[in-house]
Amino acid sequence: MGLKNEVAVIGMGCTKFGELWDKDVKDLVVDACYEAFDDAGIQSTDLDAAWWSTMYSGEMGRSLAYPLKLNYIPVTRVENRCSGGQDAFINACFSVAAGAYETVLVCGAEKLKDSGISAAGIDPTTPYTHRGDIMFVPPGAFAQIAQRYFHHYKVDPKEGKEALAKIAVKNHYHGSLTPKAQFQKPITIEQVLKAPMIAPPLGLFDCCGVSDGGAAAIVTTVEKARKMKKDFVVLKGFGFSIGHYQASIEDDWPFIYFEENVRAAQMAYKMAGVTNPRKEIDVAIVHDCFTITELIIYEDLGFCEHGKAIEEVHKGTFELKGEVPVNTDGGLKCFGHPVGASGIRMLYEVYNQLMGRAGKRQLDNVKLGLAHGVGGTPIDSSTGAVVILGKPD
Amino acid sequence: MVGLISYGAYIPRWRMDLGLVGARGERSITGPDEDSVTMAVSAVLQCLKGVDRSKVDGLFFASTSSPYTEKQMSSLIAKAADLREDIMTADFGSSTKGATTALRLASDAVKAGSAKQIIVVASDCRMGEPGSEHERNGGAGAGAVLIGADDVAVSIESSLSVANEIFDIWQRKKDTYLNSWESRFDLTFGYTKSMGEAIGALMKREGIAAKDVNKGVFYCPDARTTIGMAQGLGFDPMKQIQDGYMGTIGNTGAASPLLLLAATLDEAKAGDNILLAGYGNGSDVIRMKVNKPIEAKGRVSVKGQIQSKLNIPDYFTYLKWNRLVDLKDAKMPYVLTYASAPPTYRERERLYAFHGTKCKKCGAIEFPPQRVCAKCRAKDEFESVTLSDKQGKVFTCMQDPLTSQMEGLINLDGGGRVYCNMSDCTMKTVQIDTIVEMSFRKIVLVPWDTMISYTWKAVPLRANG
Repeated sequence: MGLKNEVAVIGMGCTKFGELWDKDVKDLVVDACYEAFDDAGIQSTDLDAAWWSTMYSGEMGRSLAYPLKLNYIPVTRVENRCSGGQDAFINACFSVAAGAYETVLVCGAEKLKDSGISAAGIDPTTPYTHRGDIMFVPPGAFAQIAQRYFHHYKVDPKEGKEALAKIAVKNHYHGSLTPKAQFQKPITIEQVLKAPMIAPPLGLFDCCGVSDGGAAAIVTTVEKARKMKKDFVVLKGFGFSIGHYQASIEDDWPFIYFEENVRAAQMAYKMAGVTNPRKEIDVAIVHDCFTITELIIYEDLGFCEHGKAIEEVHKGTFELKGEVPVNTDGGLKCFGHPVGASGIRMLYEVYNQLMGRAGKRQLDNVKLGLAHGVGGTPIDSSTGAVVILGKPD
Repeated sequence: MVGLISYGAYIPRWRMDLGLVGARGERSITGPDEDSVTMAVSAVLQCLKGVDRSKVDGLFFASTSSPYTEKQMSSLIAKAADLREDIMTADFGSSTKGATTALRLASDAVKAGSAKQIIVVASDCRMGEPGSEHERNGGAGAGAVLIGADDVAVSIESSLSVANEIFDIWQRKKDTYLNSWESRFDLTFGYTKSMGEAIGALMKREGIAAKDVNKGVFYCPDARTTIGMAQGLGFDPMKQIQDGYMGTIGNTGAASPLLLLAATLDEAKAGDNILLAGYGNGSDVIRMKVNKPIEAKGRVSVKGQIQSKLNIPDYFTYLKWNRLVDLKDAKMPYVLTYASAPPTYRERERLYAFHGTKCKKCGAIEFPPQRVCAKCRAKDEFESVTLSDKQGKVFTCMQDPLTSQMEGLINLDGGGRVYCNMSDCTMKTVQIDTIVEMSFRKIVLVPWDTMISYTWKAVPLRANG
């Protein structure tokens, strides 16, 4: 069971992320997709179908078909908040593996900066139609799991804050090596600690950017990939899990990890045949919407035991030259976080690392890489999405 | 015998130092998420401590600051108090004597047998023009009494009313602030005349001398007038008149008689004779006798509520909270959702009565109400449970960076976890494991909503005084 070595990625594209005041979402779609078309050596008319991930920046499949002038092919719009990109990618892989289509496009794009919000967190530009009776922004929701994590593991708040700061410093350093990243300036621990507090213990540098951006991938059969390309990557495994508001309605839920991440990783590792992720995963691009999220993800994905992530941060385990390099492109923190595009941007970095195209941040001997996303928050329940790419056997 | 079975009061935590407006003392003000309705619900919950709410047949709400011109609020308050739906509800608006009038009518209804128990709740927040005497003298608060015929602790012996057509204090539909004429005219021909006439006539009719009264509980418009009026009737204001809390709470308008009555009852002894009087285009006076003190576990005394307070830092905060300044830079809410009548109606048991579900299979208590149990996945095997009267512990909490609202996960005593906003606290005053209780509050979904949305929030406990 599973799709290990069944489908291939033959081309990818990604715009620069950031405050792209001169770009519309249609520009982001065109820029990302045409880079992917060129990389794959195809034209839009070669596509059999497309999957489109956006949360706020377009409804229906037509908001992808229109800017690209797709040739009356099916376009499925996928929304699963911040993990919509992985979800769209996985569903595109289903269609190819099933033999329904041969060559398909996956695109994610988001235009957040027209909303008037500069603060950390994400602003919807489309009203929900249901009535809400509690309001929160993401930093508050994630800060609460940080509070609980520190309390549960008896972490001194000052030490905990410093460990989180190290994650921000690491991702900023990686961002400085990434030309398409939103933030490319290295920072110091002192800067992180002195930055304005957003939602304790999370300060300004603990929060990811609010960004515009788009990313795209071309998925096809391994057979066709071999005919078309000398070098490409293949799907090794995936997992996708979604919660049911357990953290806020089950009164004994411990609120120190994401069950969805744990489950998604188990599914993906099983499919890919990974038994020791810490040893076998060469690069991991994970959902660091906030530094606390990245800290907990280290544990959820099995890179270390639960409760041990802070020790590993101090050891440098997740740095560029560490045992499991995480977020080599700066992550959501520095590459940016245009919601529907992020999952595909993560795959883009894994793809680049596998293809040897990661420039100054290129790792040696990358065989297996992982892209991981969280949609939602730990309070209103989340998705966990893991996609593993590797070199063809 | 008809009388009071229970009582309760609510004073918001928030105070404004009157030094901010050039006077001495302080007054109570509504918090940013409070109004007459939320304060009324809090007073009713205090009144219902130790009382079987399923036996209440009616709720009367008196206020001059009900948020709607058309839309009954007693029905909403009754729902938030989780009363039955086959009850009589009525609003008494437009006069600061609404509470005493409602109390008379409730008493008559019980006496006539058309209801067994009725709650009378009064709540007001006085809004004087910035810099005015009404602003300095005004206050915010609520009081409630439960009227019934069985197990009466304070019997209602008799009552009397007078009407007085006069323009002393008035507010048109379009006015933000109270209007009044010169205070010497107002207080002489309005308050002093009507109160004197009503109280004097009742004492004369029943052959009562001032010395026979243990406490006069009189609507109190300012620091002086009540004392002069009471002296004119032969009372010793230092010993026989309930303190009006001018300079600490201020004049709470329609709530004043019931709030002050609660303060009196907090310290009353069996056998005490009480005269309660309200004013507003006339007066009602009600004579009561204490048969036994009303004790209820968990009810916070008026003194305790006066002591449990938070001061606003500046006058701008008062203006901002009361929307007296137009804030163009108001932040866009993160969740762009708006008040909608059908779900508010459909989910009234959750939104107002604060019902959760208890799984009949595994016993798990869940909020919001579920169809499928999160613990054992049993389908549609739930009973409703009221969560508004539960205390709980903070499991985790956070101050929202955009709205500065506190939010948190609360683990309730007896089971259940609620994700909710928190109020009257900051990250400095609450932390993991702090004990909290639930309080009915306003929430602004989008500024252009024409319906006011309400929700239950967690607040720290108030120590009993």
